[in-house]
Amino acid sequence: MRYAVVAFLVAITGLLHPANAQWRTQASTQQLYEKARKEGKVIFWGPARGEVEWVSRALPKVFPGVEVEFVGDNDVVTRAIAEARGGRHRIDVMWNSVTASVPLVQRNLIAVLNPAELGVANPQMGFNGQMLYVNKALYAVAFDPKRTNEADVPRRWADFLDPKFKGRMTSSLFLLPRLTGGLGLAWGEDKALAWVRNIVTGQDTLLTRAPRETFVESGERALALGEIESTYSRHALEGKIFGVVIPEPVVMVQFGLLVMKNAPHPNAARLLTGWLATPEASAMRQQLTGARDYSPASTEPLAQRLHGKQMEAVFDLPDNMQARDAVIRKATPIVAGRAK
Amino acid sequence: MKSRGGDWLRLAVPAAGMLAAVYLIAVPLGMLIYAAFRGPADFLPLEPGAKWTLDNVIAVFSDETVYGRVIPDTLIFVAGTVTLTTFMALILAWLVERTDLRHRNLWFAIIVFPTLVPLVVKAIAWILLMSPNAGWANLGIRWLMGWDGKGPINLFSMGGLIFTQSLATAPFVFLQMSAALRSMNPALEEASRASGASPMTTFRKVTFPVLLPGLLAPVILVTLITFEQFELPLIIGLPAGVNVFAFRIYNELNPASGLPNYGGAAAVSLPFLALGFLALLAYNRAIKNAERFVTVSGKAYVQKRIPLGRWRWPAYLFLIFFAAFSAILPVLVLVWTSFFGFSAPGNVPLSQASMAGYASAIQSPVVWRATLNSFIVAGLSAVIVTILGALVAWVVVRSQFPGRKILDALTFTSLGIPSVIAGLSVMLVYLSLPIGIYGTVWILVLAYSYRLAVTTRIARAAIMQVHKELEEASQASGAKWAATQLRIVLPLILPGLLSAFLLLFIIGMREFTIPFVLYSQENVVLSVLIWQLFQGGQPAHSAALGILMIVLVIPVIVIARRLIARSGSGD
Repeated sequence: MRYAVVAFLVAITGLLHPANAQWRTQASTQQLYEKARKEGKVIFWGPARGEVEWVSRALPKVFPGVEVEFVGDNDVVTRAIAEARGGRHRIDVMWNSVTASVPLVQRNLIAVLNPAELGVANPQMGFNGQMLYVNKALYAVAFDPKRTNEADVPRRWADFLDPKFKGRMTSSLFLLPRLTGGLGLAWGEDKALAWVRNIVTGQDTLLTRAPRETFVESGERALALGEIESTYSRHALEGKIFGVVIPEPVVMVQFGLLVMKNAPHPNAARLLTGWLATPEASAMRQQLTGARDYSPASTEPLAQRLHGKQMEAVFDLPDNMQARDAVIRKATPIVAGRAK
Repeated sequence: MKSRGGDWLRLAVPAAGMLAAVYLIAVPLGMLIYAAFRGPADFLPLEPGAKWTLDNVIAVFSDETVYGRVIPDTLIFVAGTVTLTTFMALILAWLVERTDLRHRNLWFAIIVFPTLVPLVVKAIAWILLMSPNAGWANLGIRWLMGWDGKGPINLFSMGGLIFTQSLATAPFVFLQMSAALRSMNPALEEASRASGASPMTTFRKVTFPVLLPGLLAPVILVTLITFEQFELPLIIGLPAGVNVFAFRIYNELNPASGLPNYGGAAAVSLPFLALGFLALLAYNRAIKNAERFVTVSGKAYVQKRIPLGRWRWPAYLFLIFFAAFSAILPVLVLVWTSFFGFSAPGNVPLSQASMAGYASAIQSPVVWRATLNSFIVAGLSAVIVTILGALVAWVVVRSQFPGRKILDALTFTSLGIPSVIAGLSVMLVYLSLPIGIYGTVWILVLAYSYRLAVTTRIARAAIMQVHKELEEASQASGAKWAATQLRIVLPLILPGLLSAFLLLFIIGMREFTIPFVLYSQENVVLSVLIWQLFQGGQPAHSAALGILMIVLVIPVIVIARRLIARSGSGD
């Protein structure tokens, strides 16, 4: 059934969007496809399974003969570094946030992309052409609307320190330090670290590597703090409806694609990267994962409010990533219980 | 010519086995120790630019978290688990082996069944069962007692971690204690009963003291098993703020931010490796001492069971409690989750049951790859370890090779190497050496194959029972060494080797820590995939895969057990 939906979406988005037909038929794409087909596959890694899995179903429908093997795991960056260190180059394309990609760029593991070769019109690039921006992610709070009234969920991150939320929240050991890093850009390092310290110890928050929706759906905890909003859009597609609130300051993270310098399937890697930047792939991603477009050009009301500065927001960009990473490094041991 | 060929094989085959054993254990351990003294910390030990340094060791020993959190948490976790496991296993074994409990075979099967279920699968089920606010068990208890609030069971605590780890470990210890109790001469117990002592008094004053020396070995073994635990500390311990050493090693390799710290991970491993070896020495001594207190003799006796009397119902309650939390409820929760996700019964109409988890698992090429990988890795590593273990055992028992005691000690040390350290060591070796197996199933096959102690112990016992005269007679009749081993020795020790193979296969299918450290898109196995699906917010898919894994493994084990029975093994 899923495969039928993918095939249908490929047909519809390909037919309706002239830019897609143009991209697919242009000479540079066709040349890349011919070379990619000889390579046969592309290895695609990202920190969240749901964000990379759909590509393994979609790409072979668009480009038969090019299979996608994927890993979706929080630890992909350190694993990529480990493999490169040992001269084992197995990854072709990495999808990740700007800040998380810094160690890869610093270690000179990423190739510089040629937008003309990828056939991408008006590309948004970072790290001097090493990262092709594709989507933005927002930090949110999720809850079960059958158990928690949306009006009771605070609209500001600072308000989650209210004692009435003690013992009622859960959060990710991986995501909470990253949210704190974003808040550090808005509040300053000291206030952000004091906030996360209180969330961890004062509020008795359940910190876990397990999915927080487990605890919200079962009623174990009322609120999942610091979630990536698109996770819950994906659940909604599967019929699981969670309430989602995006508190201020809104922490918006830029995600993009990086092609590894020693990619074992370099042509397939470029083909995948170019395709993921097309409106066709963007539309399919939104259809298959429920993700929303938060780019400045988006018609989403929330995106317009954010980019229209009607909401307080911080953006994860190359010029502030070092500052955000510094806060993440200090927040991580606090969240993991290794520092006070 | 004939004799030359025979001599050549007689030397070459055991020598190859010895070299392979050294390669599988000593090389990774050597690389681990080497890495602890190489820096900077994020450099691989053989990488250009890496230098000799004490920085990693100094960083570990000057880190107050190691003293203030990791060591105390690990010690409390191990002490608590060993105590509770021993208590539960001893009571269970005594009830099944020494009393007039009804349906003993059924109880035996129920107690042992959870050993087939991967720990990661049980951990997911226990979260759903014993979470303090919404766990099914807590909801049930509060409803029965009319209580409000949360609890009374809090899974996310040191107590919860110890309780679940004890439930997971008790069946292994139960098996060992059952064997000891089954073969114990009941004369002393009967004398106690004849003097008017109750079953509990007899257990406390006679059975337990008599068995105590023999119990020491399983107790030390469970200490070693608990010491290396990673799954439950990761899934249940972290939310409880419990920070044990296995997770610290993993955390050094995969920090939430920054670069992998190979030197730091290796340095953290050293003191725990040393503690593991100390426990191993104690274990070795306990086994030898236990033989001095043997109450089993060749003298025939009739096993007379102790009547439980008024203790029958407390005994049943204990058995039901154990079976419910270790086997029945986790499986029920998994089945429910595979159809309904995380929704608790009562919150969702039965009409909303969905087979999507099973359909997705059957249709997914990743699941099929993981299934194939699991069988390849568990099966091949079990074959390698069984063959090598038999060869090493032969060298130790039959040959005059001067280094045989060192070889015996080396293979025995594998028992004291925690899985997370085994995974880390193998990772360091194959990232550093120009052998292109990193990221493939072959690295897992080699990494799993360090557990030589399992087969060397079994094979040694089996070879010692084959009198040397049989081999000498065969050779006197003109048979070469290889022919003698294949036609005379192998058939006689085969049941023991098949038992070892089966045990290793089960361990391999359940293994989570090593593939979790070493996985890639190509070599993912079922236990890791189940965790990834769970972590990725796909509970029904994860639970369905857990059920399918149990369904796949049970027939393999039943068939293997039958083969072993046919080949003549009574155990």
